[in-house]
Formats: sequence, structure tokens, C-alpha cells
Amino acid sequence: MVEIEYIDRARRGDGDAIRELYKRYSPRVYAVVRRLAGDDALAEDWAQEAWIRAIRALPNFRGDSRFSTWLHRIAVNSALHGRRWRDRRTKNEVALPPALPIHGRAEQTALRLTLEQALQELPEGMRQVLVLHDVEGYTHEDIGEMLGVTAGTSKSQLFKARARMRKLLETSHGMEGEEACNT
Amino acid sequence: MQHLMIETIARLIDEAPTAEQAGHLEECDKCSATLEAMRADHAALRNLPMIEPPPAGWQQLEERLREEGLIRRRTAPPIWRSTAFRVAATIAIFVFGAFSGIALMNMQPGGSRNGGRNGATSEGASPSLIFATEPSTPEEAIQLYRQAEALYLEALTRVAQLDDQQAGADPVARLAALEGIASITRSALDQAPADPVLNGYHLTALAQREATIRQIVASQPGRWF
Repeated sequence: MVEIEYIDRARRGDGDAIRELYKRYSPRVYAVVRRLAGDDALAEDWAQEAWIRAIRALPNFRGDSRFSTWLHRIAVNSALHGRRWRDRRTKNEVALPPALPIHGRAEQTALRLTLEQALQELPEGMRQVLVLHDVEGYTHEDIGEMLGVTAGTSKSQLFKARARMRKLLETSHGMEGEEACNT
Repeated sequence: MQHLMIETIARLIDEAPTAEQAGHLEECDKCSATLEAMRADHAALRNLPMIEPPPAGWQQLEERLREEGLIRRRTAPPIWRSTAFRVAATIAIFVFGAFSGIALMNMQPGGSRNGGRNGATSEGASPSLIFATEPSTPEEAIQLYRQAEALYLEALTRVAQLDDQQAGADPVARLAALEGIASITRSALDQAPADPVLNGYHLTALAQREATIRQIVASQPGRWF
């Protein structure tokens, strides 16, 4: 069955069709929400919220964009909305690596875990811009619209985030952050 | 030497360097190494994998969707949608139908008649529609089973009546009845194309139909061949 048929059935409240869409797209939804959230508990709440919003909004999906793109945007918005309304999370909470089932070869997995850990240690604003731009591929205009900032602010945050990320990765590789390039 | 600021190097992943920056990068191993490392970070970030949600994610979501009335149809157990179930039901229909047909063939003339209808599938339900319908509950599956069974029995009844010489054979009506049977077997084969029993029934129906067509053609006074 093609995707549009699942969408059509899901729109009419067919549980099987919704489950099929969930099966196809939940890893992508969870990945972006998880990286924006920075911890599993929040990510689970926000991912569920994203799916509820998407299914609720399905009657309005007209197919102007791909379903995956439309859903992804809802997931990002849910995470950003969730961030605005929560204050229970303490800064740089950790517990990420064991909870992330990342597949691949050992050395790639190690690199990915290091990256995920470094992402998590970034300040929230930097992490959001870095995830949205460098991981998810959104433009600064899109990010500005999502975060309620200008494209220039998004760009500036991105460069700071990359710089901070590099330092974190150097530290994690046992290379003390040198001052050489800071002046 | 005045090194580039690290934020400036971060910018050079997306933007071209100025002439001054390019000149510096050519001469400064440290800054060019930092730029290369950042490019590698950037590529690695782009290739971060998907993350599987927690295993209980769907159950929790499904519960909420039901609470909010966003799931209206009951999620069907897989058995009712499986091809195996359909094939089993189809074979059961034909086995049951075959015995019923034999019994009907042995009926005495003047028994229950079918009101002179020419089509074998006159209940208003088309065989292909029945087999194309996907049951989502056991009740729906049973209902579809009964509809298909009724169609098959009706077709056999009609054939038995038309075979009854005392009642007066009507080869055109017999042809219509055989068309009905062939339609049912064709629909069943769409579900299980490799099934030998269904293929046997289908070929038999086709052979009977062809024989009837020959009979009709032979009985026409103005044959065209």
C-alpha cells in the first residue's frame, strides 16, 4: 500500500494506518526531538505530543509538501513549544549514551556517541540551532521563524555552537583546548 | 602570528574566506587543522543516525489517541487480515460448496427452483467486491465468508437446475451460471494465485463454460464458421 493510502486511512481514524506511519517515521521524529530535548524523559513526552498534533492536524494535510517533511516540522515545533513551557530540566542533565540505540560499526558508533554527548553539553540555544541547521538541514530563515529570532542571530549562534562543539570534542579526545585559535 | 578566531573558522564551513583569511589558512597549520576538524564535525553531524523511540512508545501513543478519539476503528488482529485466513476461508467455501453441489445435482426435478434468474450472483454482492473487502473484525470476516458461500451455492444451484433435462436445459442461462462460478474462482485466485485446489476449480469452471459456448454456437442455425 502506498503512503497516501495510509495517510488517507489515518485521517479517518484507522489505527492500523496510524501505526504504519508511526513505524515508518517514529525514528526520525524521535531523533530530532531527542536531540533538541537533551534527555529521554522530555523527548518521550515531546515525541508523543508531536504525534498527537500530527494526527489531529492530518485532515489539514493537503500533500503540498512530503508527509515526512510536514511531520518533521510538527515534531520540531512540538519540541520547541515544549521547551518554552517547561522549566523542570536542569541545565546539561546527562544520561544520554546508554539510552541511544545507535547502529553501525564500532568506530562510527564511538564517534556518534561522542558527538551526541557533546551536543548534549552545549547550552540549549546553541544546541537547538546546531541541531536544526547542521543535523536537520534547516535554513537560518526557517530557524529564525521557529525560534522567533532573526536569521542573523541564528547564524551567529551557529558559529558559536560549532566553536563550542569543537572544544568539547577536543576535550573528549584528550586534547586540552588550546588557546591558539582564540585570539 | 594572529590566529583566526574560532567562530570565524566555524563560519568558513559555509562561507568562502576573505583573501586575508585564505592567506592565513595557507600559512597557519593550526588554524587550517581546526577548519578541517570542524568540517569533519559538520559532516559527522549531517550523518547522525535516526534514533529508535522507546519500545513502549506506540502503546502509549495509541492509548492517548484513543482517549482523544483520534483512533476510531478498532485495530484488527493480524489473523483477520492475513492471506492465510482468506485462503483457508476460500478453500472451506469450495469444499463445502462442492458437497452442496453434489447434493443439489442429485435433487429430484421440481425441487426448489431459483425463480428464473439468469445470473448466478443475484444477491447484489459481487464476488470480486467480497474478496477485495478487507475485514477488520471477526464478525466482518464471518459475514464476508457467508456472502461468498451464498454466492457459490447459488451458482451451483443454478447449474444443477439447468442440468435438469426435465426442466428444459437453457444453455445461455447455464453459461451465465458458469460465468458466475468462474468469477468467484478468479477472485479467489487473486488472493492465492498458486493454490492448486483453486486452480483446479477455476480450470473446471472455464472448461465447462467453453463446452457450453460450443453447445450454444453449434445450436445456432446461422453459424459464422
